Amino acid sequence: MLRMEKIASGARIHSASQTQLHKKSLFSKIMTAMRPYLMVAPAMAVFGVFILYPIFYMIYLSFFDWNLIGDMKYIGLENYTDMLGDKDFWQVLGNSVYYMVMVVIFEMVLSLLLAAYLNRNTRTNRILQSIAFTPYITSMVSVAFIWMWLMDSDYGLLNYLLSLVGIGPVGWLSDPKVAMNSLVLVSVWKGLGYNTIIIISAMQSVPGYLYEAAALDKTPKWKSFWKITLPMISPTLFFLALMNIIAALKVFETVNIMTQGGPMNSTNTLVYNIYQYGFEYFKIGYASALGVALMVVIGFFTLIYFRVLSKRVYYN
Amino acid sequence: MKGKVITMKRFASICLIAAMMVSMSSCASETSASTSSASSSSSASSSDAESTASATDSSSDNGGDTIELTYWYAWTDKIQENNENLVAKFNETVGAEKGIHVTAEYQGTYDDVHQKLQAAYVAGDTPDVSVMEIGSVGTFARNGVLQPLDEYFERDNIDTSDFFEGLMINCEVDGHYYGLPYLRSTPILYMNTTLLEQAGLDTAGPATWDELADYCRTIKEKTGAYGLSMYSYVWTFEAFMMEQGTSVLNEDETACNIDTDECRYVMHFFQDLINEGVVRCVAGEDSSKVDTDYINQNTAMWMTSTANLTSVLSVAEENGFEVNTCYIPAGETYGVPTGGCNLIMPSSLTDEHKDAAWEFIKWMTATDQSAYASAYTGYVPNSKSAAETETITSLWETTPQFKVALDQLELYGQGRPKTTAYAQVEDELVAMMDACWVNGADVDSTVAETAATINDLLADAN
Repeated sequence: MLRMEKIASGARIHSASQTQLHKKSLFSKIMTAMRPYLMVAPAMAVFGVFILYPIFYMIYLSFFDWNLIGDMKYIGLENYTDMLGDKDFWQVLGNSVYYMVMVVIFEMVLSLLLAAYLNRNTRTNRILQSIAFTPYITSMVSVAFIWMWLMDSDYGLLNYLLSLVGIGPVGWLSDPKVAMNSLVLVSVWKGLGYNTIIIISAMQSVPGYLYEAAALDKTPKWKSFWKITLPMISPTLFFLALMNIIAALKVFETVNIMTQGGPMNSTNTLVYNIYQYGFEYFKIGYASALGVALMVVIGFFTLIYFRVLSKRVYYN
Repeated sequence: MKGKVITMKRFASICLIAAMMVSMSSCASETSASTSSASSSSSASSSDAESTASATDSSSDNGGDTIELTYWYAWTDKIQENNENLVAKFNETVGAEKGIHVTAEYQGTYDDVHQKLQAAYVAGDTPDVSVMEIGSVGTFARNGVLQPLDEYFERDNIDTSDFFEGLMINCEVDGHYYGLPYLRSTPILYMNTTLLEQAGLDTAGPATWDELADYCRTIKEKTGAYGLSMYSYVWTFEAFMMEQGTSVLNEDETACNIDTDECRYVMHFFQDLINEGVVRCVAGEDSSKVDTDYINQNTAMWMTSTANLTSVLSVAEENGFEVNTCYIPAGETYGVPTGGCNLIMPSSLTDEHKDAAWEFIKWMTATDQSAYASAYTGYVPNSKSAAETETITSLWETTPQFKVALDQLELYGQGRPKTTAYAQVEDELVAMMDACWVNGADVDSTVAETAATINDLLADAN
C-alpha cells in the first residue's frame, strides 16, 4: 500500500511528462487485483456451466411436468408431493441408504485391516498391494459383467463352490433378499484396493519415533495401533469415508448392468430411479425432483458426518 | 540419478496424458457415431439447399446433387446385415435414380434408439428415417416428434389394406398414420421335438392351455427336462391376457384389466405349474437363461419372437435336435400381440428431406424388400403381396416353421397399447410376474396392488 501511494504521489509531482507511468501503475493495479479471479475464471466457467447451472436448472425443472419433447407444464410442488407419497420412493431411498451404510462399513473396516497387514514395506507386500489395487483400475462395466457371470444362479462359479461344501444354490442376483448384498460385495471388492493404498500411505507418514517411544514402554502392538496409528491417520480415514459415502449414494453402473433395479425393485437406488424416470418413462420433471432429493440426501449425510465426526479427527 | 528421476516423471506424465486422451476418445466414440453423421448430413443439406434453391423444383429427378439421408436401426447380427444390404441396394437402384443417398447407422437396442431420438429431437439434429418399436409410436406421435404420413399415403396411393391388419394398428395414432410396418413379429411357441418324441408326445404341439399343462407334466416325468422355460416378459403376458378374452389395458387405455378373474387365472395357472416344478420362470432381467435352457435341452418348449427363428434353427442343428413351432396355445381363444418396429420420419425435417425420406420408407416396406427381410431374418412379411412372393413361398416349402408365425399373425394378431405411460406399466407388470412366478408371492394381493398402481399411472397420463 505504502509503495503504491509513493508512486501515486510521485506521479502527481511529475504530472504531465510522466502520465505514462501513472497510467501504467493504474493498469497494473487493476491487473493485480484481477489476477486471482482471472486465474480461476476458466475453472469457474466450467464449474458454472457443468455443475451450478444444471443444479439450478434441475430445481427449476422439478416444478414442471415435462417429457423433454412436448410442452412444459407448471405443476408447482406436485412432483414432490407425488414423490413423498409414493412407497416406491421410500423403498428406493431405503435401498440407497442400506447400500451406502453397508459399503462404507465393510470398505473401511476391511481396507484398514488390509492396510495394517500390508504396511511393512517388503517385496511381497508391494506385489500384494498392486494386486489389491487392480480392481480399482478395471472398468466398472467389465467388473459388473464378470461378477454377473460368477454369481449366475445356474452356472456360476460361486454356486458351484457352495455346492462342493453342500450348500444349495443362492440366487445372488435373483433373490430379492440377497441381491442388494451382492451389489455391496462387488462394490467393496472393487474399492478395497484404492482405500488400502491411501491408508497405507497415511500409515507410513506417521513418525517412527512415536512407535519407538511406545516400544520403550512395552506397549502391546494392538494398543499402539489403537492409540497411535488410528488417531494419526484419522484425517485420511475421515476423508475416505466421506468419499465412500458420496460414491455409494451415487451408485449406478452395477445396478444398471447386473440387476436393472430388480428383482422386485429390491436393488433400485436413487440414481438408477432417476435414470428410469428420465430416460425410460420420459418424466423429466419427476426425475428432477428425485435429483433434488438425492442432492438433499447426500447433503444431509455429509453434514451429519461433519458434525459428528470432525471433532474426533486429529489434525496436527 | 536426479536427471533419471525427472525423465521418469516426464515419461509418467506423458503416459498419463496419453491414457486420458484414449479414455476420453473412447467415451466420446459412442456419441460421436451419432453426431458425426448428423453433422455430415446437415452440412450436406445446406449445400443442397443452395443448389435446389436455384432449381426450385422439389422433385429430385434432376440428377445433380444427391440428398444425403441418415437412417437409424437397432440390433446386430442378421438384422444388421439385412439393414445394411437393403440400404446398399436402395442406394444403387432407386436412390441413384432419384438422387438420394442413405447412410445406415446402428444405434443399439430399441430403447437406445428411442433415447437417442428423443435427445436428437431436442437438439434439433435428428436422423431422416428411423426404426421405432411399435409400442413407442404413440408417445412420440402425440408429442409431435413424428411426421404424419397421410398426405404421402394419398399422394402415392398406398394400399393400406395390403398390409396385414394386425400390423397397421400400431402405425396409426388418433386417426393419423405415422409409419409403415418394417421388421415385425409375433411371439410363437418353439418346441424341441426331439424331447417331445422322447416323452411320446405329438410334435404338432399343445393346442390349448390344458394340453400345455399336460405336455409340461409329461415332459418333466419322461425326460427330466422342464416342459416350458419362460421369463417375466410383458409381450407374452399380453398374449396370455388376449387368450383369456381380455387385454392388459381397456380399450381407451384409461384403466387396466389386471384386477380381474382372467388375470388371476393366468397368474395362478403358471404359478401352479412352476410350483409343481414342470415349468421354470426366471426374473425379467435373466431372460438369457431361457436361451441357455433351450440350447442345453434343459427345456422342451419356450416362447419367443418369430424373429429368432433363423438363429434357433441353426442352434438346433449345431446341438443335434429338431425344432418345430406352433401358435401360442389357446385359452378361451387364440391371440397374440404383434411386435417389432415401424419406419418413421421426424416432423422436424425440411420438406425436401421429408420427400426423400418418404421415398426410402416406401421402398423399404414395399413387397420385394419385405419378402427379402422376412426370409433373411425370420420376421413376418408385412403385406399380403409380400407373403405371395416367390421368395416367401419357396421358403415355406423348405422350412414350414416360418409359416406358423404368419398364419398366427393373419388370424389373431393384435396391436400393443399406445399410451405414454406404458413403459412404466411394463415395469410394474414385470415386477408382478417376478413376485408371483419367481418369488412365490400371493397372487391375489399382488395382482390387486399392481392394478392399483397401474391405474394411477394411467390416470396421470390422461
